[in-house]
Amino acid sequence: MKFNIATWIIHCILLGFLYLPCGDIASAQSNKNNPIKIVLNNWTSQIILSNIAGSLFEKQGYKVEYVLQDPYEQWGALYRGEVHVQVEVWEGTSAKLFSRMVRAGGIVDAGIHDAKTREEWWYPLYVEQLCPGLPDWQALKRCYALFVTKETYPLGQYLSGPWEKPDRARIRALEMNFKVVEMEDGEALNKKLFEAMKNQLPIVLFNWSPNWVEAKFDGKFVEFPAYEPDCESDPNWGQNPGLLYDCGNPKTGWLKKAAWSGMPDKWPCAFTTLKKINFSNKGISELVFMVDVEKKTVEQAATSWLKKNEKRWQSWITQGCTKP
Amino acid sequence: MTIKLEILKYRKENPLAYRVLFYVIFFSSCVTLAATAWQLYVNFKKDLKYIERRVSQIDEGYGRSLSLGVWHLDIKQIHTLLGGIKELPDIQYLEISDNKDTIVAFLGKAKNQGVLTREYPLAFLDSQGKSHVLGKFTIIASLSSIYKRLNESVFQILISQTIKTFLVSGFILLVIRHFITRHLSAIAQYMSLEKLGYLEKPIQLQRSTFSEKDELERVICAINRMRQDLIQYISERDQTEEKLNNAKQYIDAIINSMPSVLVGVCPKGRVTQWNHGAETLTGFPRTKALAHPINRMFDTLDLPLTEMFSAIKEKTFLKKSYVPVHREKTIIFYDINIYPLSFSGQEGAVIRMDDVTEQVKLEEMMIQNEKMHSVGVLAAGVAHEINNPTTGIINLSQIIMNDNSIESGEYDIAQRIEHEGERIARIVSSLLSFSRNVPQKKISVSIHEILEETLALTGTQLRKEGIKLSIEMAEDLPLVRVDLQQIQQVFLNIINNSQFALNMKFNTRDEKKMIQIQSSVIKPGGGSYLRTIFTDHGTGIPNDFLHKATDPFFTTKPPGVGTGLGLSISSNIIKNHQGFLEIESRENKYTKVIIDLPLRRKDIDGWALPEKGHGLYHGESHGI
Repeated sequence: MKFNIATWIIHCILLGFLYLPCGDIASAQSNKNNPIKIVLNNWTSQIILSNIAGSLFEKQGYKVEYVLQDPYEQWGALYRGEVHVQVEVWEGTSAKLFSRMVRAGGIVDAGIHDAKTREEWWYPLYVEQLCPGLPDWQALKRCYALFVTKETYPLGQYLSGPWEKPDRARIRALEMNFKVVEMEDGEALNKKLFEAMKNQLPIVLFNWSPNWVEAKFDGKFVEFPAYEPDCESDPNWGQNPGLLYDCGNPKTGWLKKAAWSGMPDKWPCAFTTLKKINFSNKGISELVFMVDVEKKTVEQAATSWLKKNEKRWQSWITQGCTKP
Repeated sequence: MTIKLEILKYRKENPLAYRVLFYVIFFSSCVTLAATAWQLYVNFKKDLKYIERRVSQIDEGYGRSLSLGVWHLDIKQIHTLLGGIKELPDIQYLEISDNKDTIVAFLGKAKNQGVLTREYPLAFLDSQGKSHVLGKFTIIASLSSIYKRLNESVFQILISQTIKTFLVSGFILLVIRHFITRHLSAIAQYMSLEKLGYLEKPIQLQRSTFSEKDELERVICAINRMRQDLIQYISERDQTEEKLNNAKQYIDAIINSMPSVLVGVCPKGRVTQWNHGAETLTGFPRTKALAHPINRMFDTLDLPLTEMFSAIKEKTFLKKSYVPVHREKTIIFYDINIYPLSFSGQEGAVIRMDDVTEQVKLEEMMIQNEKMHSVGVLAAGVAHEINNPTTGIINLSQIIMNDNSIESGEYDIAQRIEHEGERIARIVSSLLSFSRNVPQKKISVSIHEILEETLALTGTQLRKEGIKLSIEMAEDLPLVRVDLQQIQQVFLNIINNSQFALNMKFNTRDEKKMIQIQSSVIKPGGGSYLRTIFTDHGTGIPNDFLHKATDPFFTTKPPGVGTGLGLSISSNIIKNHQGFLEIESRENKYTKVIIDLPLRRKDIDGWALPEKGHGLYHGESHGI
């Protein structure tokens, strides 16, 4: 074989062109072997949506790992890249931490669901007959005696979950004669609701939307003084000039998705899909109903949704990101 | 100033107590300083441990909250927590940093010195028990409060310790003074008395008596025992000293009473013994001679020093006989003996020098007598043989003169022959006089009479030659028993010699052209003598000839002027009278002839010596 300089230079140029895409491919392949850690919280809708998102990532060839996280502790883990994806960020619960983390740069805002959220004290509709004036909070304040139990006597009982909520501060600020009783998880809370509904007993408990409850039972959220950010930071604001939290939670809160700030670079296809994932209140409620009421597993609910909505989720996957 | 003087006074009066006080204070001060330093160190460690515990408690109390704040990036919460921590005592600076050492939050100002710095890991423990390392929490606590407390306490401790030190020192000093030093002072005072009279009384201390004998009591007992021993020892020593002194004085007296020169020397030649004879010989007193080199003592004497020192050095016996030593105008002869000395491990030598001048003179005199005897026999023989022809010559010359006129030449020649013959006859007569032992015709006669008769023969000639006479003698001098003719001959010979010497020196009249004649009574030793001294200031006798002056036929006069027999005959005459004739002379200065004639007791009885300075008494004389 004859060798000359021109031939040598051409070979070098060709090799140079070949090398660059090979590097990117190798890097992408390495990142795909690293699992995307999706946060699992202790409420049904979040778990189902996490499964659907995980399935979509897997369909694009990513490895997925589900990591159970406390809703309060998850932000530090997301910020430091210990977990990578959160598919439900409720404004009422996590707006403050989410915003701080985004500002700090460790977390990126991965888009907003169509669903509007509300977390608030909730009662079955029949309670209005027992306590006229509801859903106004002042009616509830007056009717506290209806909710007194053996454990909370002489105060009325308010059932809450294991989530960090300023309910005690609110009771103190609005001078309501209630005591917070925390349930272990959402299932225990549902159990209490079923018991009360069955016997038509007065009950006021923590509820949120979207949730299956609104699809199955009639009931209303208690209307506290309207939420303002100053309510949580300025004691002078609101009903009680000396205390914070003399207001309710936001009524039409957003539901966002969050990702670790390194995700867009490390798993760009998955991040694009995450940004496109979007559920409405109805869609989330149906999914939760399947699990909480129809007692399907999370995986069954997710698989069911993926089968019925293939066209929809296909549109969430960028072309070229599909698993070969 | 006064305090300083008091301290100096105290130090001078109580040096032991002062030293004890100094060491007590010095040691106590050292202990005080060490104790203070140790106390401060303990306090410092205690306070430091307290701060460390508090810092540790801060981490334990705030660590979880801070970790939570960091986990949630809740800077406000972190600052609130840090603000609360900062309010705690001694906390100076707080810092939260992440795993990349980026400061997340801080509060206060960091200093490097005088601070306690502790770093604690910040970890968030989630609800599932998993620990998340977030960074570190740095706490810097100021130690200024510790230093402030130490500064406050150091003076307090020092002052209290110093007061304690001085109180204890003072107490110790008082105790030492009460129990020891005042008694030591009393002992010292007792022992330091100048005279030994204090030994008459035993020492007693003013102190309480104790059942057991303590150290001081034992010292006092020992001193009193020593006192008794000392008294006995001193007594014995005094007796021994007295004996020794007596013995020494006795030996010294023996040594000094000996006429010999006795000198002890060590092997190095330094004087160890020096008796009176040595003092007399050298003129050096014993005090100046002792311990000085023997050569320096004898260097003015013409002794055979080299030979003597060699004998001393080699420890050999040396004997030198008749060694002449010139002392001023006389010669003294010594027998020198050097004996090696060895006693009590010490070595040296003894030099003994005996004056044998008299012995030498006697021997010389014996030789002279022998010589005179021989000359006398010879002279008698010669005179006898010459006398007859001389008589014939004189007679024949007189015949010739009688046969010729006075104006003739023959007469003149004959007269000259007669004159020379008579001269020969006089010489022969003198020889006969010298050789013959003519019996003396002694009579008691005054010295005035002898001198008058002598001057009658020669006075005219003396006046003619301008020679003055100076006669100093008392009128009442005792009579001497002598042969008048012989003593007159002696006086005449001496005056003739003076006359010749004065004429040789002074051609014309001169104030010093004089013969002085003095007479006086002397009493050397046991006898009495009449001393007559003839003095002239003529040519004198050379020193080398002085000892030959009385030899027969020895004369310093020109040939034909003197026979050399005058002084020799004179000396024999005086000697035959048991007297002494002595000649002193210095060339070109003077000549002094001293004649001592013995006086009989009956001639001197009732006769008083004139007072010194009056009359002619001149002390002792040395005859030949």
